[in-house]
Amino acid sequence: MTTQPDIVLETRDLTKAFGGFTAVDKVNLRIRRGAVHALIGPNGAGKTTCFHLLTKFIAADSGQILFNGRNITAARPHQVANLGIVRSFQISAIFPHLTIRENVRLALQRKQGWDYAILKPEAALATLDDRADELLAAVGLTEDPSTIGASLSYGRKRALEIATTLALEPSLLLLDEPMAGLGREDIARIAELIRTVSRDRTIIMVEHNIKVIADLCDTITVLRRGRVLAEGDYATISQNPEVVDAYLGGGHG
Amino acid sequence: MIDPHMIARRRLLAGLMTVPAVASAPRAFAQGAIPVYKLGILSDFSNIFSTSGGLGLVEGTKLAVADFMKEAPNAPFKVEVIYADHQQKADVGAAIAKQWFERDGVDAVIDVVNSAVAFAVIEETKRNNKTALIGGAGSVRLTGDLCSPNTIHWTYDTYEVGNAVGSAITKAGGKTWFFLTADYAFGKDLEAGTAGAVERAGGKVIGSVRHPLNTQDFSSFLLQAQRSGADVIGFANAGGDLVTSVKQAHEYGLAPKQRLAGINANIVDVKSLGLDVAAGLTLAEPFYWDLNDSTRSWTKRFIATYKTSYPTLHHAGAYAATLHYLRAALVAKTRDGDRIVSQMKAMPTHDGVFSDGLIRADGRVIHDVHVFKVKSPAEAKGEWDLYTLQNTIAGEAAFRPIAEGHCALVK
Amino acid sequence: MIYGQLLIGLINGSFYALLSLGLSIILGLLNIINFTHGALYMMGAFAAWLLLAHAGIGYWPALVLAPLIVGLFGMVLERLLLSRVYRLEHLYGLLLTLGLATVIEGLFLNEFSAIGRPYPIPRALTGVWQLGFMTLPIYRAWVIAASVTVCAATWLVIERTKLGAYLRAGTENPALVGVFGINVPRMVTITFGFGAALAGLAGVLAAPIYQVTPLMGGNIITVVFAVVVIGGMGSIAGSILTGFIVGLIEGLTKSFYPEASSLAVFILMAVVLLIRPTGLFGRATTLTSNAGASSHAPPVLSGPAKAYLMPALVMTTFLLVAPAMLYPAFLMKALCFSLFALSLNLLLGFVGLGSFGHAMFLGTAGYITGYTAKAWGWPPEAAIAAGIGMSMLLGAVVGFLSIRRQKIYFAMITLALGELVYFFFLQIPFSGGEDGLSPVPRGRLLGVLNLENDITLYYLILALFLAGFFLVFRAVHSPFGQALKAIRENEPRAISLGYDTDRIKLVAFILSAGVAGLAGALKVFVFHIVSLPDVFHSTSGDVILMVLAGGVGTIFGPVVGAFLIVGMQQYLAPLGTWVMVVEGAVFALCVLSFRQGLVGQMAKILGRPL
Repeated sequence: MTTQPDIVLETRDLTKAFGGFTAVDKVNLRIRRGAVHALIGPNGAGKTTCFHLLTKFIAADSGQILFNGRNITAARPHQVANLGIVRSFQISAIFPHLTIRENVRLALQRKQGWDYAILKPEAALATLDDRADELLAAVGLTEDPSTIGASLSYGRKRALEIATTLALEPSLLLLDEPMAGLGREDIARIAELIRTVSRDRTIIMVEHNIKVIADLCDTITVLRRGRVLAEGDYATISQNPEVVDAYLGGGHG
Repeated sequence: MIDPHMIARRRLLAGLMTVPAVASAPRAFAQGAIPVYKLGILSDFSNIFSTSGGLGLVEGTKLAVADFMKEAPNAPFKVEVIYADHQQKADVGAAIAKQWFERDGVDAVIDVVNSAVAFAVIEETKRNNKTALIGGAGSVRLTGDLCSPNTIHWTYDTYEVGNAVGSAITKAGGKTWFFLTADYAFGKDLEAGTAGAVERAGGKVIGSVRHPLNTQDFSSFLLQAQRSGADVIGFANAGGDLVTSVKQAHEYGLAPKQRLAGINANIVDVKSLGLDVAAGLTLAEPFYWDLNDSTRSWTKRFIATYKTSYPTLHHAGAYAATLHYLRAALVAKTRDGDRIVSQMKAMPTHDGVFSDGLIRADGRVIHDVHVFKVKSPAEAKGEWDLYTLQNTIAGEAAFRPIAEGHCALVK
Repeated sequence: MIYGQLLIGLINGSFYALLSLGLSIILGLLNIINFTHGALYMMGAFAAWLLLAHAGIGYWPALVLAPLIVGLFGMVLERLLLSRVYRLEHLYGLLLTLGLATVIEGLFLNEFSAIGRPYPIPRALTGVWQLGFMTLPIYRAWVIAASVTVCAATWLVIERTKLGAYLRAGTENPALVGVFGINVPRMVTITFGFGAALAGLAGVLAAPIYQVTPLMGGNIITVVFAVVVIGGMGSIAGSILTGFIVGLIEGLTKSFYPEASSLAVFILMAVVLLIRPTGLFGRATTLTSNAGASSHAPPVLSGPAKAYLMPALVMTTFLLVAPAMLYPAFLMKALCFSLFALSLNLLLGFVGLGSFGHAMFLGTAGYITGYTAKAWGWPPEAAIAAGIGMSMLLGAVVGFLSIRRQKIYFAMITLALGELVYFFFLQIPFSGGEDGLSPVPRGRLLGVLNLENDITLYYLILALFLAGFFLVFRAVHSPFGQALKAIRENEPRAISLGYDTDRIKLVAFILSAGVAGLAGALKVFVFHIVSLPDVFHSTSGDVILMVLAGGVGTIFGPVVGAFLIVGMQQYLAPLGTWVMVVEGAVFALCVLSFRQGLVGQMAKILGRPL
């Protein structure tokens, strides 16, 4: 008897067209809980669009998205964040003029639900400082917590972004090309960070760096021209002739 | 010819120098220091009414002060004249009036073009028991529900000019009327004042259209006026709207088939239009520089120092009001606004610019109103020879009957 | 009858088309929101008049000379001043051109006064054609013909020629085009000059039929802006077509509901912005911010809450004793405007939203407070509460309609809604229309304190000012304020962390409306009057100036700015039109080199947050 895999995120016939061009065409994904799942494909394959659909930053034309069995197709981006799905950005998104502690605190504050606490004094935020510093240390940011975000190197900005994301205790992380723009050392560091983080949660990432994908990912979905071409672990898909053809042949957009 | 611009600058600086606060003098004549009556002209010095009023008001007031000093050389007081721009804003006007009365020792406020500002200012005048000599504003409410023991309404009002033009043209054969009215209280009042006269004279209002203030293009409205086939088209608006609508009426060739009634137009408006455009326009004013010898000699003195234009009704109004005020102050021997106003009402007016007249219990100054027709370029013999007199409506008959105003002061 | 109205609509439409063409070229190709366009149009008309009056040069040569003169002036303006703000947020370009327009208008008013100058219709074009359904002045037919020709020719050049292609490429990617050897800055200058020349040409066409006065630009500019927004910012063909459409709609409104004809275009703009924000013909604009990129605006020196305690004490002490030194009525007015400026600064400085119609909250509260106090005899505390309540309600509605829009659209839609509110108060009987609502009694606070006494009223206003000041301060220095910071720094990131940024911005907007409402409610009692200027767009412009001059994003800036501007308007009043020139110059200076404002500059020098 086969046990049903625990699916944390599922899409059914997810479709998105821009004008006459169908970027994502009836894509069906099933992401297992706890997996590190990659979305790859040549340029124009639709992985970025797919990603944006999953993060709800774009609305789908048709199809469904289910999170833990719950239909989130109509949800707005901030709502899915509060459900436990948090994304990162291709260009590392931090709050540049705030301190690194304030960056993380903003996520912690969100969890406290203090969004409209207009009359609460600033000093109340100090109660979150310890936890913020913990999270900073966990990603290797050991400098003075009052360092301004913009002054960090790009790699450390990435780390800060991850710390901020973790502060929300998400169950599903969506990473948009996490290795983009990083040098070799930083790649190794961030990859290690992702590995550590993946122990307790599910990760979906869009990525180009094949080595990183091979190292980190359990499952890889290959997209081509908006459709799922193949799915499986690295060994399986790297030997798939269609996948090879897509990358080396006429698949470039 | 002296550059009017330079004159204007000099006057501006002079005005600026008189604004800083001066210690206020005692209210009644005290022994010791010579009291100073301070007169403040509060008007529009920068916007659309700055030429029909503006610095000419200062000139008129100063002339009155000089003439008063000549006729009463032993008057036990001095007179100072200052002015400020209310920028057509009611709270700016009220703020200036308040400061003038409370801190700067101003006794009387003059002109206040723009009815909204006037309403605000007369409140401050009442509160501080000063005097308001309203000239530029034309609302009949000033002698109606808003009348006060501290207000005198000089120069004109919407009933006065509307009644004159309406009755004159209707009696001369213009039986059917179409109104082009500015969509605010002043325009509507002007239309009502004229329409009433039209109907009383046996005519009929067959249509009207309301346009927003500061309309650029009146083609639509003029078309409607043309199609109505009315004998007369009444322009119940003022300032830029009046000039633009008459200009475009000329462009569309409404006259001479239809007679154009400029109702509230004045010489500066006509000059701005030019005689080729404005010829034949009918309007009413209580003052015209070329009306008689008295007005002519006064004008000669006025233009000796004021170069921007020939005197308008408002300039004359500032002169007449100031002169009468000072005369009354001399007799009443007081600084209290309400008592000076009572005295003004007790004395007949005689200034040589308007016809001799009197002031009613509701504060309305009664004088003759004249209906004019704008000359054609061929008829004009000088740069400011603009009008031909059509007829004159004498005194009391020209103004709204006192009972209709429901002024609380009238028993 | 209807045909005549439609034809007239087309004629007016051709003016709008010509003017919006120039504006659209400058906006679409150069990304500059050019508020001087109305002033340039006015200069064209004056150039024609001056040529005739002083050099005897008639209409036909003026058709060529005047646009040339104005175009040259435009190029000088661009080179010397506008080019300095390209790297900043678009809002600064708009503010700079607004300041420059005020200066130009003020100078012309000073020199020529507001009275209209006569300019004759050229002899060859006098007379009318009888068309049966209407008489058509021949000159008007010429206007349509000329406008259509110029619009079509310009569109052809831009869309179909090599020169036009360079222009379009140059704005998409100046660096790349520069690499091809094209002098991009020179191209920009010439393009601006061309747009200005188009405005000047419209001015010459207008001179014989409209009034030649320094105010003519101001009368038409808001309509032309609305046309460009409706048509779609960046679409040249769109603004030409929309110009005609708006002319037609205006013409129809003039037949059926003439009083509303000046409002028709704003209602249309509000509707279009709500349904189709990129405009009728617009393509996705380059003016939206990209997700993932962070804000350009440098933060002002900020610090922990207790750092502000000292300056706050200084301010409070000064205000407590001020009536002994300064005129209380002036102080009260300045305090009300300080509150108003604080409310705008909350939005502009801390949320990054430039509201161009903020007077609607000041005035609405004023009218409600004034009416309840005067007509219903409500005690002042109830009247004030009613005023604030109404402005917050309006804030909720306006905020809901506009909060989703990006910066420049937000400015435009708040401008449009502000015009609607103005029109409402113009028409509704209870406001007194042009006469205003007065006298409003001050009454007795809680039945005890007689507010007719200026000093008593002053201390009440001071107390409420301090409460409002503290409220804004606390809102900014609270978890809510942190959320606002996050939104300002990187909104997409904030969303991804679970912040409902739209709703947070809406709450900030309603709070801002409430504080502005408090300012408006109190102001009524100072002079016992509320009138239309309180809801007019010039007051919205004034408060932006106050915030800019004081220092956007500072805590004390709005107060300083308000005192400065109110003081200037009060004490420089004898200078008449020079006040306009000075205000416009201050505006422009603040944008060009003084962006920190007075308090921002002080903060920098002292090295501490203010």
